[in-house]
Amino acid sequence: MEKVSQSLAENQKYLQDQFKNSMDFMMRELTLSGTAGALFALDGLVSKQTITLSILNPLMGAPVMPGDGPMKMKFIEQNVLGSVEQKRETQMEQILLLLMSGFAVLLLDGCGDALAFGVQGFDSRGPEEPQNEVMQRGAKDGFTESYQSNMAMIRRRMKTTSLKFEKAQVGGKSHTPLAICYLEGVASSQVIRKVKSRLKKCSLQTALGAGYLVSFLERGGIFTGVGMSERPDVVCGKIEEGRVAILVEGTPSVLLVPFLFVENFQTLDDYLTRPFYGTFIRWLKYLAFFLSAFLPGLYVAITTHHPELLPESLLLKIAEAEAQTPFPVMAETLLLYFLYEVLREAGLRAPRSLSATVSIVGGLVVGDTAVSAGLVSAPSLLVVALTAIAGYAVPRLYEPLALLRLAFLLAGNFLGVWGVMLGLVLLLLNLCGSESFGVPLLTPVAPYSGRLVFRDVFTRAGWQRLAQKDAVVQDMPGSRELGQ
Amino acid sequence: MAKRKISAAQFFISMFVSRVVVTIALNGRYTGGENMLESIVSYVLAMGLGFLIALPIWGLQKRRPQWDVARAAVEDMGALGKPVPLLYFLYFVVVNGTSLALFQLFLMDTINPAFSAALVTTALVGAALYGALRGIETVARCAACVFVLLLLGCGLVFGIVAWRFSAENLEPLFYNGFHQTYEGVLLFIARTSVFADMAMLLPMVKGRKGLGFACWAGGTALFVGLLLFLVAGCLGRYAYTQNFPVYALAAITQVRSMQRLDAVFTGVWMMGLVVKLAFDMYGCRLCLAALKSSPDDSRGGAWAAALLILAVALCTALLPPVRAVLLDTRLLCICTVAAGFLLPLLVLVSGLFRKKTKAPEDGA
Repeated sequence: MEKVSQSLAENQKYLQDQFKNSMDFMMRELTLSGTAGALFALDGLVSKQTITLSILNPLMGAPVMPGDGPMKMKFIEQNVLGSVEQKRETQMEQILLLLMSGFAVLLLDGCGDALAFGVQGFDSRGPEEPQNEVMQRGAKDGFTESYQSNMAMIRRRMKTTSLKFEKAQVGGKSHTPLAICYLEGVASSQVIRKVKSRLKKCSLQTALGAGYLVSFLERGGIFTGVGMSERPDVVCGKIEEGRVAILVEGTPSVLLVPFLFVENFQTLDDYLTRPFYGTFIRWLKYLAFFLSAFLPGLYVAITTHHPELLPESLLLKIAEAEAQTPFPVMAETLLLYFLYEVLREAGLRAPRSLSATVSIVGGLVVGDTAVSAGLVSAPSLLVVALTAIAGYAVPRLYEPLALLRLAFLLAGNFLGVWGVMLGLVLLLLNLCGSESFGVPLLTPVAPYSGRLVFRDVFTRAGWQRLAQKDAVVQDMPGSRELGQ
Repeated sequence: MAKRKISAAQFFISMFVSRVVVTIALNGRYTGGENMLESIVSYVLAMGLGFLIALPIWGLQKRRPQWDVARAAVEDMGALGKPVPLLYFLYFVVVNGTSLALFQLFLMDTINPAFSAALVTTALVGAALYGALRGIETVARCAACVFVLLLLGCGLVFGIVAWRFSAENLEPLFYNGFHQTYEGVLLFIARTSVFADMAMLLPMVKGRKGLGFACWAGGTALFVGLLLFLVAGCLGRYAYTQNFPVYALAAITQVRSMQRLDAVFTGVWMMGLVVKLAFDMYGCRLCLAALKSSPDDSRGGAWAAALLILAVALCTALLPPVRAVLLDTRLLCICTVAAGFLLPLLVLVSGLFRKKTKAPEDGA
């Protein structure tokens, strides 16, 4: 690692070489009481106004400084400049990193130290309501791309010294900073240790989003053991239950570990409404999950292999509709499902001005023309539409559901209801065998805890009961020894 | 790596699921008579005998709580004990192969689906193998979920068919002597792999195992009693003419919106079978580990067991001579008593004998 040279010319040359062909590199040469100096920064990352007001003006207006380079540097540090974020550096590599993080760096001739000042001034988005986690009654602010602002949002809601933010970094080239956030004395020390060790082993060169880190934090499986939230209130609630949050610079989503399967069905609105309504909504979401995962598979299985399961009148209606289409039920459902996924993807990726057109054309073509042309039957269309809508009731599970649906569809076609049942057992086995940082993914359902299940899974208890006893994540049944 | 343990509740719930799976496949041909009510008496007697059969296993558990019977045999008896894990492995293969064969026979003879029954059987073994490879905790947790689904499924079927119950269908007990009761006891013991499961898996169970066993025996007796009572009361003599009377009971079930619930019955059977097979395949892992004197359970054991179980199931279902041998109640009963009583007793006695012969040497 290269050290800062005593010679200003050498340091200048080094930095100029490093930022060769970079038009954002700025250097301002100055003379301070007869000693040559230079201030470096990267345009766009710093606030020029702050540099002028808090660095250049005080330096220019400073009295005559005594001694050589090092003495002058010490004088400047102690008597001239009073930046809040100010540090000395001797390593060139660190200086480069600071420059790229929005610091200004002052170097003096004859001095082997550099003085860096935090003068960040890049544009950033203000807190807005998260688009992917819409709440009816919750707060309307969401995380932004700056992890420091995100830290402040959490701190503002949890005014306790137990709340810790430990700094870490990922990405060999991007040097993306992140903060590991937890409540000391509540979060399991073993989980914190595991988080740090897994992040350390992260072999990414560039981490452009929190999602990049997920695969380094989890151990695979159909359902993830790492949660994500764009809402500071949700993250605070999770931290209070012993979870560890990871705030990554440049991404408005915060990672949460350990993350249990039942949490996919929990939203902040559940806790802001009356318990009976919260419980009702919870059960609606469970139903929606099963509907979304199993309905196409069961529809294909029953219509193809077990029509005796259906009431006669319904069976006749389906048979009548199917008789007018050229494809078997399986091909029809599969076709509709793929069409739906294509439409969804197109709606997501198309420019905003075109997305309405895509929806209308898609809805008309698929919904009306395909049925009236006799290409697909109305019952199949209804099943796929129901499945899609149900999937949006549990948006966190959309990705696994998209694939599970397809798997159950194939199983139902080849092995009937039994194929779907076998798929269900396999799914259960996968869920039962998965863990998130030593906590079983399906807890408190399997392993079972009656107290916890009727607290916040099958029923959403009232706040008087919820407030009585904490449900710290590492105390869930079946968790490996995750004590303090 | 530290081995994980499961709770006594999880273990005996899994055993309950296994028991239900076996009971579903019950028919008059094997119970030795036409009166289903007598089978209830047989089951209660079989459970009473079960307590006696399990005694050596409890004795061995008390002496060597950390070892299963196969490992205790290898450790205590040396080379002479090596056949014990092998015998348990073979027992698991045969018992599960026959359970699977009964399911395939059911598919082939009663359901006759448009697709190959062997394909379903293979998929079932694949699912069980996946569970066995994930470990005993995974299977035990899954068994608890299947248990709930099973209770819901059975509750639905029982609740709906109960109105068809007619006391006129019930026949007096022991009208034709005690032969059927005796045959029933043999059958219920023969088709109970819980003793072998206990012999191999009890060291991985924590909690009140004795209470768990008593609850298991009582719970299964209640379930089997209720099931057979409904079969007898709803189907009467018609049950005897059916290869799978419990299925026949499910097939006559009608709800307003669902015409028949036999698919639910078959699904429940399949899910239970996966749990039973997975548990016993995990037992096979332990058997091979004991044979190799390896501290870790052998994944190869589960693979070998899966392939052999599939082969036995297909042979039993497709080849009548093999079926005649492997589904023979007396032969299976001898195997079960050997696995549940004789082998543990042998290992227990040899362990005690070894301790006695070693004691003077230690003293000297």
